Amino acid sequence: MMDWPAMNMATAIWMAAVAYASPMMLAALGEVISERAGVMNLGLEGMIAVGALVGYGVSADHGSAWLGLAAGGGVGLLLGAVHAALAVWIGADQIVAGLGMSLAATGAAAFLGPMWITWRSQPAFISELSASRYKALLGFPPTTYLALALGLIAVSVLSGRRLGIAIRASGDSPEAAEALGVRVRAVRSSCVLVGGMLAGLSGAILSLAYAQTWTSTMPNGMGWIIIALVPLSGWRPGRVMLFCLLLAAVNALQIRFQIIGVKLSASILDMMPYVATLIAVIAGRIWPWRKGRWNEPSALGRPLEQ
Amino acid sequence: MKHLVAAVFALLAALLLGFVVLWILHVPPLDACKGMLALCWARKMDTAAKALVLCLLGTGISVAFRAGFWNVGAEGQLCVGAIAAAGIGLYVAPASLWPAPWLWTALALVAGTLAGAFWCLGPALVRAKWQVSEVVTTLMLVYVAKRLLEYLYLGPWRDPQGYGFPGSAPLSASLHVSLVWIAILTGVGAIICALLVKKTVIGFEMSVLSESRDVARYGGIHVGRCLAIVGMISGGLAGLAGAVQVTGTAGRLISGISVGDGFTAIIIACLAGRHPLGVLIVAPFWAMLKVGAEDLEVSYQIPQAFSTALEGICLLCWLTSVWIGRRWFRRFRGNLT
Repeated sequence: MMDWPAMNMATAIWMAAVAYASPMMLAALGEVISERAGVMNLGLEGMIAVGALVGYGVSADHGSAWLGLAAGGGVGLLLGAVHAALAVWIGADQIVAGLGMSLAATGAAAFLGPMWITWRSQPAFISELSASRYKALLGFPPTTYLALALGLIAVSVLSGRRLGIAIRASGDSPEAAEALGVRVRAVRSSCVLVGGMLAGLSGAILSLAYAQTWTSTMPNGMGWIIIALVPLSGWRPGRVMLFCLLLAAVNALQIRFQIIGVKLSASILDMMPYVATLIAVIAGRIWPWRKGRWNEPSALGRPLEQ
Repeated sequence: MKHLVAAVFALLAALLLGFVVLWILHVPPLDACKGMLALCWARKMDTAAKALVLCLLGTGISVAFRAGFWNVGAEGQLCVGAIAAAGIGLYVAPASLWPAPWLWTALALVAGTLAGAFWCLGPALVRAKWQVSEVVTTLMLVYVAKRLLEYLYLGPWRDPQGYGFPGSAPLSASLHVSLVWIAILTGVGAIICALLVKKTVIGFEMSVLSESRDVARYGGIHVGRCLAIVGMISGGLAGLAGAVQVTGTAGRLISGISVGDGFTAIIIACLAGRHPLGVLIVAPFWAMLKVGAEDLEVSYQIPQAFSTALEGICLLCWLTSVWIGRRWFRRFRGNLT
């Protein structure tokens, strides 16, 4: 991030929040898209972890940050394909499949990472821009604009005529959609693939742009927080991005507290994002702001029956 | 029987994949296997203790899964159970352990069980009342509990005579419980759970609830009460597993208490077909894998997370083998699908 002396603390926290929010938003958009099509992707945490590792490793091996991002997205796509095969084509339980994916992928990242990445690896990061470019972008990192653009695309696709209706129909009543000629399995798998790709990309951004380092605990619960935020936002891309920003602000606040040395243990401060998510999820269920309009895909988690 | 076939198939597939990965990493798979088994044999007691902990966790999870309550936060319940047991052993029990040491050990185990049960009761009640997904709440509580554990053994409970090493002071040696007692506890717990699931009204209510909440309510089942009982059993067993680690194996509060056993137990419960007694058969295998993974790290520099990856892959293989089983034998109804 920038280090302008004139920047006061509130601004600094918001800047950090925005920087952390962009990878969160990408993964969250992917989750919204696949849940709208009726497939829960509980493997998000693992997909982000693998994306972070592969992005970092490829960037270190080939010296190109953009190649790293592409590799992160690519490996996310692969993992998405595995999830699609299990959850859509085999019709396996989506919760179990997602948990298995999460365990396998976080385990694989933690197991392959130390063998791939050493202290000598020097990847190219999504570099800080020159001051003039920063002014042009209003001081936000370029990944923020990527997230915003993808958000706009997601909103227009999901509320759109052809594709949007096909996706929402696959999530709401797959059998009826199938009868009307929507190829539900194809729609669902493509949504899961997109979700996986975005999760992998988000992991690569996390390690190459936000943290600029790789640790074996990398997403550290971010994927699960996102999974909690999606129902809270009523499966809407715009709102989920807003919630991501709020949670990122909590996280930035917590990190800022640790830096300025608040008289609280780092472990306790570390709890803040998780506790905030818990409170938000429960509060969101108790006081729905649009009563009775939860807009939950009614076939969420249920495979296509024939 | 068919569950067993699916489980064995999944285990074999996962092992085969593990062999391939090891072979790609230039590790001779058979030698690695031999080394792992040798380490398990050399450290019989550790392996047995790990198996018992996994049994306790797996039993609790299989009860929860039977009721359609996705308690994926056994790891967190284990942490608070360990904290409660250590708190009793270190700070509540008097130094003289009056009137009898075993009384305080029992109290520590009970405290751990209760702590785990209440840590899981929250998500159960919130699910019953407002239908908040328990997958999210129990998992968030895992992160909270792990941070709490970390806070305690790094901060206020850190051993003043520990030369700065992270960890609490060790429990008095007379508070330790032997493996035999833990084994008896585990066996009794599993049998009670099996009877509960198969022979009691609560067990029947659980199976109805897992099929459909609406049907359960129509049938006059008190959904909230049923979920609360299931949550407390499941969390209580996980808390007991944490307490057992503090009083039995680790002897203190250290980071080694929480090494992902709560997540391994999810796989164990699935492979065992969500049957509490099946868990007793499956758990030792994973205990051997987890203990043996240390040999992989020492001898071949393969990080221990290898076994975590293998766990996840095994779960995915299990889903696939259930599907194949269903296609081949039309009458085979895989659980959880």
